[in-house]
Amino acid sequence: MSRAVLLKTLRDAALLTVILTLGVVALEMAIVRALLEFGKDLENFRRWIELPLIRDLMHIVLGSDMLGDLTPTTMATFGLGHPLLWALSWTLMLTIVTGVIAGEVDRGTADLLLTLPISRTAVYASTTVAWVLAAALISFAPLLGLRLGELVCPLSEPLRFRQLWPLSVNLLALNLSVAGVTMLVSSLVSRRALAVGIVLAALLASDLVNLLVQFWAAVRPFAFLGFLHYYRPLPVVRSGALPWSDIGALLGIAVTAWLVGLWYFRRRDIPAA
Amino acid sequence: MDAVATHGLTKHYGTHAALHELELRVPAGRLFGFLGPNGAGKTTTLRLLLGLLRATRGRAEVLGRDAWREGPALRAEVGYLPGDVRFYDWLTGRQTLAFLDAARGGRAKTEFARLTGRLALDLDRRVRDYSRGMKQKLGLIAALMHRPRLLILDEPTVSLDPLMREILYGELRAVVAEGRTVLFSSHTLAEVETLCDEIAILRDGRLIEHERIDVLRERAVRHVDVRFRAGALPALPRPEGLQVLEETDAHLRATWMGPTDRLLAWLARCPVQDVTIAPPDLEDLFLTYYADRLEGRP
Repeated sequence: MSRAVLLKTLRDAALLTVILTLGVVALEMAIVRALLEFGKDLENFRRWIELPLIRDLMHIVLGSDMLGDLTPTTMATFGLGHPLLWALSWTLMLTIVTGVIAGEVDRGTADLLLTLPISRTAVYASTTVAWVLAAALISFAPLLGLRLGELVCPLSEPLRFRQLWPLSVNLLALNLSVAGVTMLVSSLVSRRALAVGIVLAALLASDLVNLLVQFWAAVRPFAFLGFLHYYRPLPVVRSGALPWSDIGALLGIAVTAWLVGLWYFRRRDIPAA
Repeated sequence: MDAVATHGLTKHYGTHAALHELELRVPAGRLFGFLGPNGAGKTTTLRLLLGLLRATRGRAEVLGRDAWREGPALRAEVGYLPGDVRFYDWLTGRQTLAFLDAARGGRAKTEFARLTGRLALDLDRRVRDYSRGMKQKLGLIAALMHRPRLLILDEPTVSLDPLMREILYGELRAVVAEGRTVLFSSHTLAEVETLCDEIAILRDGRLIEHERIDVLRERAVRHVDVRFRAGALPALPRPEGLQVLEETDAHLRATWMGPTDRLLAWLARCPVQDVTIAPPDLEDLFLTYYADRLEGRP
């Protein structure tokens, strides 16, 4: 690993990481505020989530049916399955990860970086450390946001963080798998916009699979292809235990994609700008 | 020892052969010119030497090491300036050089201060605010500051003003005087002729010439202009190597290729009133290598 490359990557990524992490914290605080409002009229909220379409959508987002288990802690899982959380987390992952290989080649700065006395493996590993740290920060930010939200807007009962933290670990594995796949794509192409486009298309396709599974039985055998198949907030929060099989699957995707990306990056040509 | 040696170095992009069986030797301690028009394969060769490209066949040795397999170790001793140098726009010049120095082990501070002063570059501005010439200077400092044993420069004088060009030439001569090597690519013969001891010429990915500059000068034509006394051309047989371009009653304009003493011996037997012999013109020699291209042939 190269300390210089790591420090530079961390410095380049710092501002965006802080902004997006604060965005996640703000989102979670807003969700706590919304929970306070829902708690004032719980029966109305229950009637709303009993609507078939809402119920199906909740199932897609939370991985289980919420009815019958309406506590502040289970309702707080909205904050860890909210599409805005995906948007913020994946924006961070895509920006940092594509910034180094596809981004360097695209900008023409790869000539500067890869003619230093640093192996390509060290460049790849140093970048990886930077995005793993960023992924950890944004994956645990929801817990910080929920805690701050709870301090500002006390709920009818305290949130049970012992049940919520395994979900953040699951979220970290999810973000790492997205980053690992992005690293692979970034190693394969020479244009950053193309890398971002490919990963976004894959994520949208994955989300589409997740959506269709809920409404179309024929798609169910392909459910395993969706990233969110391995991230089911409500069952994890209910059990309060780490979902080892889902985490294992997500880390398996991350490590496999990372290794294939490294193998290719080590032998690929770096075209002139 | 050769600073660079390639053995059957070949690079294909799909079906296009950018470089074909290149056998190149760059002796250590030389200022070596690498010539060829755009698309001849110069940049491809340099990128193969730096491990940025992987050879389709053959191999390249740089400072005695395999350019692909031992890249990181050998790059510690190589400085490189790409043809179109790019930097991280959001960093200042100083931050850029500090990053490069840190990545190389942090031993170049004295040299980069000296070079910055010599090239008169403001390091405290962001690179995005630099002109093209300033970026080129920053690239030169980055390539030179760790005092590499081999300096690879891809058309380094593009965007430099004449004064900076002279300063660069001085730096490169100093590098060679210390026994280090410079491999200098250009498509401008005049520049290479001024600076280099030895050149290689590429054409369509093949090495078509590799010679010392002084030997090439002997092979190059000289333009000769002679005025004769008494208003008449001499009846003496003309020496081999004299190519007449124009002749009138008392005037001969020609080119000469061969040892100058033979030409002088012939002129000594003629009633010469005035004579002008121009220095050898490598440009003409260079153009002969690409004559068919100039005529539009593939």
